Amino acid sequence: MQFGTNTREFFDQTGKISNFAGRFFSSVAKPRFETAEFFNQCFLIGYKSLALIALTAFIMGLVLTMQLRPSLVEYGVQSQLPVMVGIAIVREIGPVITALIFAGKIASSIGAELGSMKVTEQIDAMDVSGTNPYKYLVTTRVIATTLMLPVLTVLGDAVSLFGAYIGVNIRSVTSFQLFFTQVFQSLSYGDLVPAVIKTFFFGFAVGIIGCYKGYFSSKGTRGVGSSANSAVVLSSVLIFVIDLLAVQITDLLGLN
Amino acid sequence: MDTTISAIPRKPKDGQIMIEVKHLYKSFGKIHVLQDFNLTLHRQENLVVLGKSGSGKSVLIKCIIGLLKPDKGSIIVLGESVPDLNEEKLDQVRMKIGFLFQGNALYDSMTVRENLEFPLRRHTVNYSQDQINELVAEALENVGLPHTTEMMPSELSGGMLKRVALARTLILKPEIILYDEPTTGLDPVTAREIDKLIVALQKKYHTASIIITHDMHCVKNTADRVALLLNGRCYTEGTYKELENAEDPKIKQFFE
Ligand SMILES: Nc1ncnc2c1ncn2[C@@H]1O[C@H](COP(=O)(O)OP(=O)(O)O)[C@@H](O)[C@H]1O
Ligand SMILES: [Mg+2]
Repeated sequence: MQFGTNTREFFDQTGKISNFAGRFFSSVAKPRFETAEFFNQCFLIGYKSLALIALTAFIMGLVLTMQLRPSLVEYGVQSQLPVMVGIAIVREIGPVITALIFAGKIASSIGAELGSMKVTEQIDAMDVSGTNPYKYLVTTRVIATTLMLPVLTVLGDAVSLFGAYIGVNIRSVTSFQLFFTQVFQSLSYGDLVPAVIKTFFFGFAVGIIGCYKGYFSSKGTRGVGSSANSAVVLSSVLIFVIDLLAVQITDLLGLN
Repeated sequence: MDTTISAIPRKPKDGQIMIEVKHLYKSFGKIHVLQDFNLTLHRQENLVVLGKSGSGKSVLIKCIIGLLKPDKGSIIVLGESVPDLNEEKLDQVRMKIGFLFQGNALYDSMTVRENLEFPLRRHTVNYSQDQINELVAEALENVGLPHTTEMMPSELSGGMLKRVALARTLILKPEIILYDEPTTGLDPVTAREIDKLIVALQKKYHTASIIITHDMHCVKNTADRVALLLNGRCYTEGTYKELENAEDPKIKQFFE
């Protein structure tokens, strides 16, 4: 999505997306519940992104530790390395990196999948065979992304901390136990809880944007491709916007 | 070409009315697609709607099945006014209508069996697994493809896809079938096979059909009555013979 082209277009698009998201809330509580499709999507969405998220999380933890060490050594506080890395990972880097990877992987695949279903009239076919396609396709995927991203984030955080542990041990020796004791002692619920809560919103944004872009895809291969592409771009931008809002809110609530 | 299949008798015009479209208007922005369109479909009748591509044929049947909302005019299907129905009532009417999409609209993430089972599991009637298996087998038998149940749509040829789509359309034993360009994009031999299938199935299940096409062989083989869609209106109607012998250049252009 291009913000610059036309202010009116921007507000038009914002209105349409809000409307689309509103439909989610009005349809989610009404039967019939597409339970089988929901579990199928949870599995696919979680499973598809697990390996990628684990890999990037590990590298992030490792690299972050290696980059931070020289500065801490300069001030003579390298013993605080696990604490610094732990806080950075749990509060910010873990949730945001995981969400961005998730957006790249899942928003694009949902956008392309629904987009091609749209242009080949599969969505219309569902409609005429007694299935509400919004409920079957959109509601299930949005709930799945909203619930799976927090789970993936917690897993990603754990892998990332393990990467950090390896990073610490490259230049010095710390026991596994000591490292994690230090990390967990420095962390409070005020660090963990807001960080996990915001990932629900990240997940929701990824699901809604992916579905919206696919559901209203224009005809042709070009249309499907650009749905997938703009789903990733827009949901990534939204992740940062939500992150900014989240930090303001936790600040106001005095949770920092 | 086999001409015997065109020798079906013309149905009496005074039979029960299945679909009645009156003074239908539909525009997209400045494009006025349908303007004061009228059409009546009688019991057990094959009505062909003939029109150039882009003349609004698909728009017409999408209005009939409730995928598009008309701007003005009435659409009565089996005694119900389609544009005014709520979701539940609309589903009940749609259960009695089969819709064959131009691009088949088979779900490409599902096997042939799952594609056929989808409408059975969706509409409110509860079938047992045995009944479902039986219906799937019968539907594939009808279209001459009994051994494809476990194949994916991507593994099938164009003609086979059309047959599977037709099987899915027929699986709920609809009273009315709407065909959107059933022979477009097929080679001539396959196209004539599809014509025969349409006529054979109509005889077997006594359905009423609207067949939308610009393929004159298909018209000749399947039509009891032909309605000509021109400039958003029903320009004229009659049997294939009547239109073939017409002097009007606007009608003649289709027969050249
Ligand atoms: N959803 C839509 N939005 C905008 N224009 C449409 C839409 N559907 C159809 N049209 C326009 O309506 C006209 C008729 O389309 P259609 O009914 O698909 O033609 P055909 O007779 O080939 O089936 C075309 O000009 C098409 O551009
Ligand atoms: Mg068409």
